[in-house]
Amino acid sequence: MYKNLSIYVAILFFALYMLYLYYLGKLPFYIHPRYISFTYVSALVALFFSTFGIQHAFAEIMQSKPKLTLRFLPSISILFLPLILGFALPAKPLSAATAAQRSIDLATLGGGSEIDVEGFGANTKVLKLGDWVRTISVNPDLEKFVGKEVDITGFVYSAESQPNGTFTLARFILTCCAVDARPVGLNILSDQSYSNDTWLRVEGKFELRDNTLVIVPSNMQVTEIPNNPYIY
Amino acid sequence: MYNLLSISKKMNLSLVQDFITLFLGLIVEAFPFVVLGVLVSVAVGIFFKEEWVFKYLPKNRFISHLVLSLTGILMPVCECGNVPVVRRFLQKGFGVSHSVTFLLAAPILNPITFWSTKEAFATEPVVLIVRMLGALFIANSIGILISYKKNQETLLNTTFYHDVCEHPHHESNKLDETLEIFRTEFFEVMKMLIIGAGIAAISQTFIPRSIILAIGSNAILSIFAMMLLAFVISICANVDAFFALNYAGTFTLGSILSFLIFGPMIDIKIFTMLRTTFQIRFLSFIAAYVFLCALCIGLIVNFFI
Repeated sequence: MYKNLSIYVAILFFALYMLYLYYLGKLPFYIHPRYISFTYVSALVALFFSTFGIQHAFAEIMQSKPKLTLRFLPSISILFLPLILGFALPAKPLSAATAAQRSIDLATLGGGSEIDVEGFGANTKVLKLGDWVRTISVNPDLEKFVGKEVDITGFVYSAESQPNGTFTLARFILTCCAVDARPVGLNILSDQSYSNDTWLRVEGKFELRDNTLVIVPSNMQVTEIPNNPYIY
Repeated sequence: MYNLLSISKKMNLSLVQDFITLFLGLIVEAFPFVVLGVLVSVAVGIFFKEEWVFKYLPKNRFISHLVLSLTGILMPVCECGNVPVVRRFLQKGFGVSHSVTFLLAAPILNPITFWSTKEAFATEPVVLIVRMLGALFIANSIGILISYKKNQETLLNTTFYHDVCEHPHHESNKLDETLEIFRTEFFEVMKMLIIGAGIAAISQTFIPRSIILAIGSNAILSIFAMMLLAFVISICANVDAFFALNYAGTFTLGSILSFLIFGPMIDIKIFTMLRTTFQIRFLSFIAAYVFLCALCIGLIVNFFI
């Protein structure tokens, strides 16, 4: 009986955890935004069933007053593990440490439409890091980008194969969920040392150095982790 | 020197944080599908009558097996929901060949598994198509093979039922029964999901990428590795696509498919539950057949697609 009650309580807390992430706006750290309403509704369903369940289990306990032994705890403790981790620790998006683990894979980007960089004229500042990376990956003629203005936000990451005097401003791109996140980024020409995982807003211009595009920054500003840290 | 130490300490802390993010992420993304699957189990548990299947089953051998392989559309997805249904089928005199077809097809050929596979592998439609067709083929072919055997009852073992699932108590009213089914299904599915999420997150963050790539990129070794994983990790078919997605970047497509086809059909949990329903030799035959088919499908995909 106590086992049943505990399971209902666990379900309740799962529902509350999903709602907690939802209301804090942190769901996008874990899943693609298109699933947010689905997750929200399923949390409500679980909330509904679990509250009735707790009521039912309590009624049963009150009725038969069984002895409280804690023998059931080991088998249900696994349910509480993610709940404890989820509520105790602040939600964070994937960091540079994982970026180092997964190869930067520009070739398999796909998705999103190709952006006509020329057509933007002086207004290229509205393009985001993801837009640039996609466009560059399908445009072999890098000359087209020289001189274009950028205003992008990403996290600092120094890859092993980083060209001298640069660091990468990166984001994770994901198709469905955090498990398939891959890092993509652009090189920033700067000898200012920011520690990995610092979120930066960089304004600057593209230049060509040693046949790779780098951004020469005119302004760099540390920012907070955005609510939508990934590219979809 | 000190700098290197502090950087590596920071990296390790970041890795642990990422491990937790991946671990929780898998659970968060699978959660709505868990709830959906549980709701279907509730509906089936309250409303479904096995008799309907007997009444409306066509006589023709091929069509009847085909129909049964598609009955999974109306059924719960997980082994804790399916296996009891199969046992009830058998107890009520349903043919062994039909029961086996249903057992193998139901977890994969149903809307929830269809949808979660589609979502997880949105960029790779091959996965959804081959998974569904592969399951259809395996379930039907083995059913038809078995149907030619006379005296199918000899394949059964009617001793005690080794129950590894938590089962709902039968309640007097429908509302309480609903709660019971919800609780037991959620518990069973969540347990395995959490274990699976842990394994997935560990292999993504702490196992050296070189090892994973070495196994994962090998066209043959990757398939065996994924099928072993599928057997050991009894994760429910309505969310196993999210677990498999974890390996999509490093393992061959064929191995992912072998995982997705083999896992829902045969794993430790299912094997344990059926050990006392089917004769062990028969059960081994089923397992071997599914294994070989999944292997072939994986190899074909790896070498030809």
